[in-house]
Amino acid sequence: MRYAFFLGCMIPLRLPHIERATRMALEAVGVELLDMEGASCCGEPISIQSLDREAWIALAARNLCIAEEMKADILTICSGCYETLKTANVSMKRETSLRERINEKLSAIGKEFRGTIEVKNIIEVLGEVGEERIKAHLKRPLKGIRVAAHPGCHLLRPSEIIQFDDPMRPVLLDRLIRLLGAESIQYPKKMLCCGAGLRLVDLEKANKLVEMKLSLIESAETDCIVLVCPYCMIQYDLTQRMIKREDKAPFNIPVLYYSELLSLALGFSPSEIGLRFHRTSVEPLLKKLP
Amino acid sequence: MSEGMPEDLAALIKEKVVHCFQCGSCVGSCPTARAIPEYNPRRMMEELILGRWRGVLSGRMIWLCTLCHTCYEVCPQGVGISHIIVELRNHAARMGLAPPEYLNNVRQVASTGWTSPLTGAVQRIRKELGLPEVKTAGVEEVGRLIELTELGRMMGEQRS
Repeated sequence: MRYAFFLGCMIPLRLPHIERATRMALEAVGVELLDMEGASCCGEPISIQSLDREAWIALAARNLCIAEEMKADILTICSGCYETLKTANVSMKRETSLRERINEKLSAIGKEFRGTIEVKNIIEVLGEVGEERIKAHLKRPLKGIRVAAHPGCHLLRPSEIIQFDDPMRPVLLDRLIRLLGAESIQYPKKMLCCGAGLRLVDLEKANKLVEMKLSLIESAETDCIVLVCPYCMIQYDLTQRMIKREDKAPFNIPVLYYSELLSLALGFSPSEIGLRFHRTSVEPLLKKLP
Repeated sequence: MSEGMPEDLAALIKEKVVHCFQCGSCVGSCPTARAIPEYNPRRMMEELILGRWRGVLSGRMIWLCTLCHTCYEVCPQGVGISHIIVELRNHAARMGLAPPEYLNNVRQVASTGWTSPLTGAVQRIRKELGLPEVKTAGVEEVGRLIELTELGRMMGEQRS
């Protein structure tokens, strides 16, 4: 099982510890990761999609071409990259006229989109590895750990393009959490957006949204939040430190990317996967580990 | 009322937006509406149906959507509101109404190939974690593609 490993920007350039845990965990369960020479920003789903959808598709198409040349499907680890690359891939396979317009632009840089690969997310790829195979590698089952899963938006929606899990009642991330021996708890407004998409134009309101979500998660008595998107990670992990509450102590909820949780269950130590680089301390979770 | 309306915007309203029967499912499920009560995608669709597209395009509201696509999923009429909002933003951007924060992001991508700079601090952390050096981002090709699109024209106008 080998994939063109699409890193995007936020993980390698701002949250490299997530890249570390992801490489270690995936390789441990038998996924070979091929680095993509020359891959850039996916195409950027917030600013660039909003300003010029066709430029968004063109930039994504260039990255798709690199994987096509490698003859490998793409594995994304950011939900923004996933939405971008998947939308470009699916739309150009469906719409001949779009594909022709984009290929005309790509010809200026000597590339051509052929539609020969698929774009997948990390949950999807771990599903292909299979529960039995992952289970066989587990060294430290996370028994008794209560996890609040945050699937996020672009892993699932718009469903017409994404076609992965149920867009409003997903189950696959929860299933992978339970596979590690942990409990995936239910909490109110689980499917509500973290607010990251508002950060650019209204940071205060973006923070208000994540504060509301953190309060609901805190009330559900969880040991950590688990997610699969670096933009959600920044909202929950970094913004959490900045929220001042008048009547209560600051939030203190550890936030992990799924591959970090998986790495712990596979027996990697917190120091080798760089959990110290989280802004919100993960110590309360580590103390509870069996 | 539809005087001067770009053709593709008129077609979008005729084919999609007119199906909105104002139930408000979009508002009820919208994260932004929780944080900003004035934000109301139902009213935005109503304004378009009533022909007040200029006000919608020049207002701040279209830029407050997080693009979570929940309204896209819950709309009983299949209006595809989040996609409509992307189209409205594209039109507004062509009219020179894009928020500067968005244009700054594009500038970063056009000049480095990435949305974030590669800082010395991150390079040190990567080394400490035993991660490979960050690969080049094909920045010349990225810049060339941007030049060939409408986005390139927008960025050019920004500079001049």
